[in-house]
Amino acid sequence: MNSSPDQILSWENLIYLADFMAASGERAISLLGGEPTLHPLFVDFVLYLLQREFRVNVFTNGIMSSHRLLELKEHLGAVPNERLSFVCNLNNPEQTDAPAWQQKSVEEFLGAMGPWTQPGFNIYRVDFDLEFLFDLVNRYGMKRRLRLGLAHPVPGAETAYIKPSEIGLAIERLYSYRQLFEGFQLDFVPDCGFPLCKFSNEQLGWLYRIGGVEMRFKCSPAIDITPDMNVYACFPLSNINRRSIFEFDNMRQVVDIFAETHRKIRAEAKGIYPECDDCAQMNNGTCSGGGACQLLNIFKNEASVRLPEIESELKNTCLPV
Amino acid sequence: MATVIFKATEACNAQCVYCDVAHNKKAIREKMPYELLELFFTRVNDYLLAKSDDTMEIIWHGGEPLLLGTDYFAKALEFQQKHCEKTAHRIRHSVQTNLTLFRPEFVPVFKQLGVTSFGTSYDPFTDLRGIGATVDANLYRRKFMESVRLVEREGFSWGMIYVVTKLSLDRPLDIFWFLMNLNPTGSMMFNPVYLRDRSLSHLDITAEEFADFLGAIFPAWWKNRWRMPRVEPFRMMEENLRGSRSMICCDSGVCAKTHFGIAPDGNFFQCGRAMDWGLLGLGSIKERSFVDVLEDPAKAKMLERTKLLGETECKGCRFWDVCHGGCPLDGWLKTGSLMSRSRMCVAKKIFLEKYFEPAVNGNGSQNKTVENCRVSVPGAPASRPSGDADEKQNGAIWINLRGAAGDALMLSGVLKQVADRFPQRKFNLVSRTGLDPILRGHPAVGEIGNPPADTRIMSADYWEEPGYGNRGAEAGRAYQTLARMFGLELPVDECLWTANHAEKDRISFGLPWKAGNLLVCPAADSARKQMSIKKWEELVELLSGSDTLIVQAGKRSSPYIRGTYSLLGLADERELIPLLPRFDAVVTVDNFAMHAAHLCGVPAVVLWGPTDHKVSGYRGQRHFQAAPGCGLEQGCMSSGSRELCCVPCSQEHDHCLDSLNLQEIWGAVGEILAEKNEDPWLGREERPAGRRVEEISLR
Amino acid sequence: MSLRTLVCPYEPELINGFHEREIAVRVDSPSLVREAGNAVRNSGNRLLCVILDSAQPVDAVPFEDGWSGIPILLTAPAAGEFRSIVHKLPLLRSLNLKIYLSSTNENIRDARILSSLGLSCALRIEPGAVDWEALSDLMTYALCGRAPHAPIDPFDYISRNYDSKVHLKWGAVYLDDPEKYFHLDKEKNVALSCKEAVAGQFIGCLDDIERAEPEEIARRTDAWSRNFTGFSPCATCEGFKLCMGSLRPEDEITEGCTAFFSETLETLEALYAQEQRAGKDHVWRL
Repeated sequence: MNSSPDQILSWENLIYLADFMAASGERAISLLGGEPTLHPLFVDFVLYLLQREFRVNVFTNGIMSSHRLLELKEHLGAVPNERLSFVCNLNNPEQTDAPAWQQKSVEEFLGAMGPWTQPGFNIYRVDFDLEFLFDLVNRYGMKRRLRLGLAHPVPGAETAYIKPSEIGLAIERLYSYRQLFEGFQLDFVPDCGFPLCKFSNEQLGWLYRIGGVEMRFKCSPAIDITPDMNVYACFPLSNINRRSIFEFDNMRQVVDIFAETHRKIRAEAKGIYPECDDCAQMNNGTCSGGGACQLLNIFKNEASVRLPEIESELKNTCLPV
Repeated sequence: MATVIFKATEACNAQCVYCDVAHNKKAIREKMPYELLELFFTRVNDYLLAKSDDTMEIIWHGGEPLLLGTDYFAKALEFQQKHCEKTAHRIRHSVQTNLTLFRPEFVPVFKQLGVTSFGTSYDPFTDLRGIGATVDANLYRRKFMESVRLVEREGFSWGMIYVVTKLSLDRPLDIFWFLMNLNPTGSMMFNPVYLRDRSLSHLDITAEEFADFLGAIFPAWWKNRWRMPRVEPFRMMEENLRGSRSMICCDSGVCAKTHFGIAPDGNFFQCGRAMDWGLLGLGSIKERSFVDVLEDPAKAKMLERTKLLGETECKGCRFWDVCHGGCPLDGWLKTGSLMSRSRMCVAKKIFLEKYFEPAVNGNGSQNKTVENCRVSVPGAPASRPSGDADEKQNGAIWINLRGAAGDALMLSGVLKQVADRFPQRKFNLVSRTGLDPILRGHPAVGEIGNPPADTRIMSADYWEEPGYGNRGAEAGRAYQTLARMFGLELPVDECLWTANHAEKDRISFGLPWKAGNLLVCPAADSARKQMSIKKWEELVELLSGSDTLIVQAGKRSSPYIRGTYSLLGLADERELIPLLPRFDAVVTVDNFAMHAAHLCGVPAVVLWGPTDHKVSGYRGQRHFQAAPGCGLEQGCMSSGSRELCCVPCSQEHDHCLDSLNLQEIWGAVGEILAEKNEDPWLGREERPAGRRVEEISLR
Repeated sequence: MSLRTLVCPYEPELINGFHEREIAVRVDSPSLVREAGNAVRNSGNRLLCVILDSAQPVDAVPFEDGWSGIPILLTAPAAGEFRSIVHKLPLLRSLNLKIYLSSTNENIRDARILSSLGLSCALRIEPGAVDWEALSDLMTYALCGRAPHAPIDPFDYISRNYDSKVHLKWGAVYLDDPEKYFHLDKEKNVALSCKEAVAGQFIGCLDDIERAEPEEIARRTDAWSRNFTGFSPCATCEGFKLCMGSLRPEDEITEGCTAFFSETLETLEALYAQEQRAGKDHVWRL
């Protein structure tokens, strides 16, 4: 029974998920969407999860009503930023067509919650411009760690994304900002799907030096749970092996199922480049060979020779060319 | 246990419509005189002294025994104490009563008599049971409920018989739940109505109707039986199914041995119902002892009935053991003969077959057949190369192989033979992780990649081919099957081939080679094909020696075997091939190394369990086949059962491969090493010129 | 006759008149909680709890640190705003508090929230006005929830006291059990339930009743058996053993309650079977 429609998470399901995560030993929960701050009970849910001793991370575009912003300030303004954090996905205002009111809304959000917030940026074109980010980080006291993602192909959607052949160019472009990164002491965490081989040794060394972070070039199940309690590996793979969370007793089982799904996809094609087949870093597990979602692209328009789940996905969706 | 249906009176305060006693003009309404009551207890004592191992149950019956009053029971107690001093501990009293007359005054005397439970009867919905001449059913119910509460408060248990009539048939579950909710602490029994009076035929039920009534309530009881009282006949049937033999008199076939009834005038009868119907009289308590009665020839004849039925009417019935032809009086009711089987036998049979067995044994869902379990790839029509014309018209066929690297090596060998025989035949290959490296550059393979949507696909999944896995036939072997699929005439030489191996291995220069060099490859694509780490380590210990190097190859993620020199993760399939000839022998399971050893002509000792060496192993290799202990004699991954590939073996420590004799394996390796010493070129890096890897294809 | 626990209003003179009795004292003002609890304890009687009847939702009740150590049964119409309660959670958790709510859909939801945060709750089930499916969902959570949570009555009481062989009465959760509780007014007149006390339906004076127990009490105790003589639909209900007809809706539409109690029984049986198996799996015990 839900006390609200399936499109938004209900209290009952939130509690179920909190119990599920707690029983699985998970101590951190990320809220994402769509736009999670649109949920009418967003603040209550965050307060609840904090009471349940979770660390809460919220992925947001920063665009919200003034009423919601007021709620955030009033009820979440005193929460330590080790317990609560935001990742605000930011777009270059000059490269996107966002209306002025949206930009203003984002800035108001950052003005209120900057210190809790990590900037996020999705690379969807090779000529991306990052300069605006450094300004925002400084102006609003944001956390100095950039969450950097590659825009991946999403089945059935006509979205822009970075093709495997363009990844090297994107990395070059990123590297061109090294002075700004170093100057403003901003490091970044590459999100899933970056292949190791597209970084030169120099670039890898630079990454390590600015952040000292453990470099990961993996693609593994992130596990997303929908408001109607379905679970899948990640949004681009959301139609492959989609299950109900009620089928599982703990997160380990969920991860295992989707890790198996990943394994099956990789049994069809090892990586996004031909050289992945012989790659030592793939063999020793350092690199996953790009995103599994990119691999689905390889099978588009071919005869039905793959796993039933993949065939079903390919039939039901229209992959972008 | 001897059982006496003791009717000290046949008077009753109720006038239940179907009761034979209530409407029997000849029923004795007066109480049994005290003289007879006292005589009764002397007979009880005599019986128990004569049968020192036996006990006696005295069921106070009627009519309504509570009409006897508390004084009567007090007298009974007095007589028992007087005459049964030494045997009282083997006497059990119980009372069959409608409970409507139960009062607190009865409690002390019943407790002294040792009565712990009452049997009763009740009907919640009809007016068939009622008090007095007007058959006042409402009064009956009210009194009954009050008495039941009192019975419980005073610490007695109580059970119930429900008599199923025509009026019961339209609401079986309501009746069931009503009675369950009353929460009897004793047993609940459902009996069909037995009617001698034809004017009551509108209440009568057929055997089928009774069976269906039971069938309607059985699922509710079965599902909830743990929290239900004992409900008959269900519980009895369940127990009998599980091997115990617990039966009521009607089904035991030996009621004549254990039961008799006594009327208020002291006359014996076979049982209570016989008494009600005036049948099977056995004399009087004034003249006869209980032993006499139980050994009466008439009773012996009743026992003969059981034997007779077993050889005639009931012969071959699979429910004989739980029925024995039912109550002889039921049989008499139908045919006039006590030797007939009960008409309710049919009811039992129908109930057991239609309702009981399906529920208890499962819902009858079919087990999966091997055929049903086959994995198939949707939309991938299997096709065979039919000739050049087809290929020219439709383009090269795309081979879709869903196996592992070893299968790719076999395919490579088969395709090489195809290419040798039919040089113009070309295939494409659906790219898949692990296969491309083996088949790249093959003369029979054109493109390796993604087949267009409208192209012809040929499955190379040989394990799905009819005839595969037939151990008695050469054609059932994996290689032969694959060859047949590609149009080669059988039998073919089982040659392997690859062009895409590494030119030279990168690591052998660094290995501490010794006089004897062994390669072990424990890992396989399926955990089922692997022997346990512990066993491998024991084997390695046996194989180790100062002059022997044991090297382990495999994926980086494979478990390391202690005592070996680890090359885990350092040589993939392509790099293993040039490395293999450096070794004197390979000890492996059914995996890529087995095929590669055959390709390179390196002697191999192969360990088998779920798969069969006769199907998949190569001649010339030394095979050790473990016998499965899991009941799957053919092996759990034999033909058509590859779906178990990714499922861990349920046998754990009893896994078949772990039963292999390590001494024998060691012996086989020893033989190989001994042979090597006779062949100077075996195991050397350099070989006589001209012998390239691809030429060492068959031994 | 066994001495019942007395549920009475906070009247010092009344309370001081009892000796070594167990007393649940009612107050309707938060400011009297501590005083009433201490008064009972100081009078030589045992304090079962202080019953605070609040007309306000829980979030508006002015809880105090000084209430710790006093068992409090709080009846409230609703929980109120979550974000108001959440700020008071540390204090609420430190109190010996049980919150009683009616069985509206919001309260069913809020009971789950409060329980998951460590606050003990109870729902008073109103037969004609409850969403049985929602209640069933809550029951499943209360009995089978995978994470530790505070008890939710009546489910917790039922599960602790369930015995498949007997009928289960759980009126004691609400102090409504004539065999265990008498509800008094300030003149020591006795009613057999809280509702009857409020409505002024008394059966006599305490002293008289404790001298000679009136038949009304036995009739009330055995009231469930009238389902079997009056052709009540409850008599044939699979879930009767847990309900005993006490929640029969006036409109006699029983699908909801039947399904609810049947499911509860199944859940209890499954839990019982699990416990039994857990015992049998032990290889050895100290």
